[in-house]
Amino acid sequence: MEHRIQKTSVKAGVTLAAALTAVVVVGGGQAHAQASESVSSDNAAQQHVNVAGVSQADLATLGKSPLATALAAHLNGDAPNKTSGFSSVAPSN
Amino acid sequence: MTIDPVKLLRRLEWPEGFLDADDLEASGWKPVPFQSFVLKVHSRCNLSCDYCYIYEMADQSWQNSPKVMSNDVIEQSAARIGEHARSHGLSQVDVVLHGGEPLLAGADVLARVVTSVRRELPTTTQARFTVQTNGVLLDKTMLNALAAHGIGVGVSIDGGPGANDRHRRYANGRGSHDDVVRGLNALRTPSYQHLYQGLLCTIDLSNDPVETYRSLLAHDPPAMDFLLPHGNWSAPPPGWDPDPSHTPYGDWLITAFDEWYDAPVQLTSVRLFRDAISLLLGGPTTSEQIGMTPAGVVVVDTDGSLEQVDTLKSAYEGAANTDLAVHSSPFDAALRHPALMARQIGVAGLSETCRACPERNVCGGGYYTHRYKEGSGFLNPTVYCTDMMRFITHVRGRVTADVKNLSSNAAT
Repeated sequence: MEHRIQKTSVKAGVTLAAALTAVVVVGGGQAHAQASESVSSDNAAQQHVNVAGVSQADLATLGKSPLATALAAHLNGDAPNKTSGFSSVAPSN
Repeated sequence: MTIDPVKLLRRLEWPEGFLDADDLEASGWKPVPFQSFVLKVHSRCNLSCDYCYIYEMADQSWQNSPKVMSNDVIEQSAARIGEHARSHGLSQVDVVLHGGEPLLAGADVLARVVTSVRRELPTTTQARFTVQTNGVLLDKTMLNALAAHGIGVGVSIDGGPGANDRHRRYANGRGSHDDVVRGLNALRTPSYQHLYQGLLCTIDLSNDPVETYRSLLAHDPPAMDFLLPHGNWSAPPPGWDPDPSHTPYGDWLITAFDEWYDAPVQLTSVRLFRDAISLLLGGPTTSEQIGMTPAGVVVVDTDGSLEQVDTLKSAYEGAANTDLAVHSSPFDAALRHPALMARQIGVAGLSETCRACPERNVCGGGYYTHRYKEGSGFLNPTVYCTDMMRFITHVRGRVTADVKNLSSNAAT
């Protein structure tokens, strides 16, 4: 079978070396191990920007700037509006 | 028995052959239902943009696709969307009419999609319809039809005449900018302004970021986004350099970000910038360009086949395929496809490099399409890794400093 793979791989422009590299890279254990790992594992990530001390009065001093808009949405618990048309999905065309 | 070497190779690449729905479910994982449905109502385009991921990159399957989505595929798609909404109790679905150039399908086809989907949805599910167009066919007749059916409009444009026409040209080489602006001006008239959703701009390093941003602002968009051109480790994007100190896309984004961020009054919402700040504050994201929100989108091609996010076509022939179709499979079947699962399992779907990265939760590994490398598949950081790191670090620095100042001022 190996011989056939090599032969047809060459025909298709795909080298056996590439396939073997794939085995080494993906078959090293990480892929299988992480597939069953907790989705929510958290270790290295940086902290969020601390906004605990920011009040609505503080926000007012920022006017209607982009940061003020973002902070207001965050402090009010508003999820960012999925702007339709290119909401979460549509690529450019 | 014959072995297709290319298919065999894909089985050795992440996530094909590595993620199994039964195993994941046994470990407690549950798929997140689709909420966004991209319907390819027309597979051809009236422009010939040289960077197009559908026509100009690895996958050339468009040549075998029907030009227009048939009534049968429309009805089947609508029934499947209704089925999905009912079985998952969805309160809202987004239906994006896409192409090719979707307006080439004609107003009747677009209307049929809207009518069919609305008919099939339970009364408890709201539907939002939008069309993502290149804008050149936006005239009064078309806009009347879109308005009659409540279809919002997003337009793709890359900046001013020079920037836009660098890539977005007709097959004869003529630039599209003037025609797009004509369409945008029609869209911005009072009768249709409510349909206007925003602008999508693909970055070209040759275009000045501030000039590009200001050119787009001139169209008074309620929102816009900057998209990184498609590329991956095996087929890097234009201007990409393996030297990690070379971050041209990160630098471009930073310059545009500062122009947007420093405005005393927000002039428009820029999705990538807004999402980056939201993520830094611990909030959600609204796109797959940044962050780790589970992918919730499925694509229906003109022939009814189900595809993953179709920008994967830039990676290799068949990369977006699921081997499923609306005629034979519910959307739930696509949720169990390895590539869909890989985009729904969060940190477990990231490469070792990403998992150890301090900006992992903000970056989210970058856009899935941009992670591909022949041999290891999608288990890599985005090819824009160093650019994303530079951009996110900059945004973090600016927001942290401003919030700190705000808190300090309040304390005095």
